[in-house]
Amino acid sequence: MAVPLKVSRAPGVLIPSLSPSTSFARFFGETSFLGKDEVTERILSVVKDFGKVEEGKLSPTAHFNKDLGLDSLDAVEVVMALEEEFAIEIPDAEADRILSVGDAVTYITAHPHAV
Amino acid sequence: MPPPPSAMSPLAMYRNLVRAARSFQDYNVREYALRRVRSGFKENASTDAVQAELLMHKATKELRTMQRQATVYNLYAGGMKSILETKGVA
Repeated sequence: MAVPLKVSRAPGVLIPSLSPSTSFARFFGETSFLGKDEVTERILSVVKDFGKVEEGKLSPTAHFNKDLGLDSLDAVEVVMALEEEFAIEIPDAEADRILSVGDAVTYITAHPHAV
Repeated sequence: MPPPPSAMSPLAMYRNLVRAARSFQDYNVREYALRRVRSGFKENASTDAVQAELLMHKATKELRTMQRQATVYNLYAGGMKSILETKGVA
C-alpha cells in the first residue's frame, strides 16, 4: 500500500526530466505488508531456532508461557529475535503485549516496514 | 535514550540491557555482557519489592555504563571477528 507523499518544492524549481506520470511516492515511504502465512512460517522457525522449545508443542497459536514453557525473560528474547528477523524495532509498550505466536503474527503482519 | 527507571518495567529493563549488551562489536565483551545480564536477572528472579527497586536503580546505572562503554569500545573495534563467531570456516 503506497501512501502518497506531499513533496514540497521551492516555487519555480522544475525537474524537467521527469514525466508528469512519475510519482515521487514511488521513492519515499513506500510500505508493504507481509503475508500472514509467510510471517507465521518465519516466526515459527525463529522460535524453533531459539532452542528452548520442544518442536512438537510449536503451533501458530502457541502461547510463549502456557504452551511453550518459556519464562518472561525468554519471551523477551524471542521478541528480540523476531525484531532481528524482520528488521524492525518493537517499542517496549508493544513488545510487552506480544505473548504468543499469534500476537506476534498479528503485530508483524500489521507492521508496514517488516521485511 | 531509555525512559527513566520509574517508568520502565523489569522486562523493559531486561530488553534494554540485552540490546545494549548486543551492541558491543567485540565478541568477548558482548558475550560476557549478555551472560551477565541473563544471570543477574535469573539470580534475582524471586526477590521482594524493596530489593527489586534497588536492583532496578542499579540496573539503570549499569545500562547507562554499558551504552557509554559500547560507544567507546566500538570506536576502537578493529572489525576483526573472533574465531568463535565464524561458522563453518575451518
